[in-house]
Amino acid sequence: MRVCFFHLLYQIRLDIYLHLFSMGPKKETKDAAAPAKKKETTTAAATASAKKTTKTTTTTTTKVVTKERKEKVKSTALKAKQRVVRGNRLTRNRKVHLKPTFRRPFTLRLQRQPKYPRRSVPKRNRLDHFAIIKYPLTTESAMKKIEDNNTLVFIVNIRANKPMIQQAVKKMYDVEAEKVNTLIRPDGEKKAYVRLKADHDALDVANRIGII
Amino acid sequence: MTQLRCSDLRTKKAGELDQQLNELQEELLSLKTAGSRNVDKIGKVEKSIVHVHIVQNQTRKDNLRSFYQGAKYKPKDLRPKQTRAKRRELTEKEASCVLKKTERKNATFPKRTFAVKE
Repeated sequence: MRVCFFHLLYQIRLDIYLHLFSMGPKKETKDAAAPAKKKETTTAAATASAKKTTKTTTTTTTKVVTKERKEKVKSTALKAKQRVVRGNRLTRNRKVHLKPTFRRPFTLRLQRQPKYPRRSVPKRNRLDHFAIIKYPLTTESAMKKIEDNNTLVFIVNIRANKPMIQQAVKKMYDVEAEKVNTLIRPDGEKKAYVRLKADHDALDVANRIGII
Repeated sequence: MTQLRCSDLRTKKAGELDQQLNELQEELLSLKTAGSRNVDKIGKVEKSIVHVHIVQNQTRKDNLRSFYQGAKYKPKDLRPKQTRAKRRELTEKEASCVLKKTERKNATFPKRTFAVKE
């Protein structure tokens, strides 16, 4: 509240000040402003300076202006201009908040520019294709799957998921899988049933791998 | 298939080692696929794979250490390990730091030793 009041006073004072200097033509050029204020102040100061210095004539039309007075007028004019250009510190356009909440505005977020890598070498991927597929199963039921359902059965790393298994099989054996079903055996190993696409023959692939 | 030795592997280039690693891993898979498992051979191949990894990692680390030699900022795993507490201690220089005033005082009034003459 207190701030508002003083701010108001300042505003009023400034307005008067600016008004004084904007008398004359409405153009905001320095040239227009300078002679205007000069005119204003000189007429006021003429009498004062006349009183101070006794070397003037008594006619009111002569404008006797001391050098100091000139400098002062110039500097005040400049200051006023600067203030107009700069904008008065105390009267800034405050943003109008239409909602009761204040959300943090977007600020500058710089990317990291590390001076050194934290680890000299990035960690090696421990779950590569060789680690995913342990070995294919060659049990009787697995054989049945190969013949009847066009699927291959693998024992697979327990941390591998179906898409991983699909990719690994593709890379290692050059076959495309239609789907992969997985289960975890009671002994803790993961078993993957990889059904091959129709254009692959599981039997041939098994022969090629070495299962049969 | 004889087990590979580290000393033999160190003479090979980086690309050759990668290739060797691939071959070994494929061999391992084929051994495991076979109906009857040749446990001996599987063991040898597994150990060879390990030796290849050892040589790869050691040479990589050595190269990086020489690369960062004298650098102001090194990766943390290339800095001396010591212990957590020791790393956070003041350095010798920092610990021996003394006010200029104290330095002057010590210089002008050093500790004198006297002896009583018999």
